[in-house]
Amino acid sequence: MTKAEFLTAICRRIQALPPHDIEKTLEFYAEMIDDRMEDGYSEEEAVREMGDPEEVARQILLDTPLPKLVKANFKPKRALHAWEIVLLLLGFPLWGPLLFAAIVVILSFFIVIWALAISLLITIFALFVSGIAAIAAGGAAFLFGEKAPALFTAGSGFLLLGISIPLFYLGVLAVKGLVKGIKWCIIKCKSRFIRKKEES
Amino acid sequence: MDIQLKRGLLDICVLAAIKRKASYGYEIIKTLKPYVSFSESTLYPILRRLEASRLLTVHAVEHNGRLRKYYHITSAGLLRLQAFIEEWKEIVTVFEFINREESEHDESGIFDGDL
Repeated sequence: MTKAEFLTAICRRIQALPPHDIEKTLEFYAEMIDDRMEDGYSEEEAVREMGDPEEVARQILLDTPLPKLVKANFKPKRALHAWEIVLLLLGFPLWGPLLFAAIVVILSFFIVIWALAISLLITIFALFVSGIAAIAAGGAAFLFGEKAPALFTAGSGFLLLGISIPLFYLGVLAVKGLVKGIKWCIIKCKSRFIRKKEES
Repeated sequence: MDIQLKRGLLDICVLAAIKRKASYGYEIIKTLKPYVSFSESTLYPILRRLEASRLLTVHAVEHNGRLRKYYHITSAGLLRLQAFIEEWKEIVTVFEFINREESEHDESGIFDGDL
């Protein structure tokens, strides 16, 4: 692959970036290839050292913060007409609440997920605490009251305690899985967004 | 090595490589090659990140009829390097403790087995 081919391949794949960033990226890789060629590499070798252009471009895109990508892509290609601005302003009572609702829905989605994780851990913690309480109550009852119900209470306390310990580890695993899942979703959204831009 | 840890370390490596004198991309790679595996696609995001957080500045200098970008460390960058060394001293102290405990534990483990 020649230097020009490599740069074109990268350029085509990072169109989703702001123009200034595209330019900087291409300059950087051009300089790296030129410097290697000055150091005695052939053009072919120098380009090969850069790695696969597809992978290089993917890394750059995934390393770019999402707000920057969104900003670069939703920038209108032309200035808005006066009547479009008027429409946007007049329509605000309509699209304003819709936008607000969308943000709230996304926010509540995250809150629900975290509430789920927290309630799971609290349940397990409650089992643990009630186990200890039952053992203590059973012990006290054994000393001062009827033996059989006291033994039963203490026994169920041990049972609760025993159940809560493995459940705690399962709960932590579940929460870790949840965090991983959310991260995966965000990356998925990001790469879908990037891909869509490349096709257009 | 842990990815987050390596990422942080590489940032520091790049700052250290330009500490004495301003340097350009290929020279940074050559400087660091004996110590860490490092490629252009690793370097580029690091330079972008360091520039965005103002730990280094970029100046283009003409070289053989083309522009070459030189990276200069800023005073904030120098502070970051110093802070890293201080932090690392603490980590080394903790590491020595862990290492000592670990090896002593192994010895006593064998002893317990004999009993």
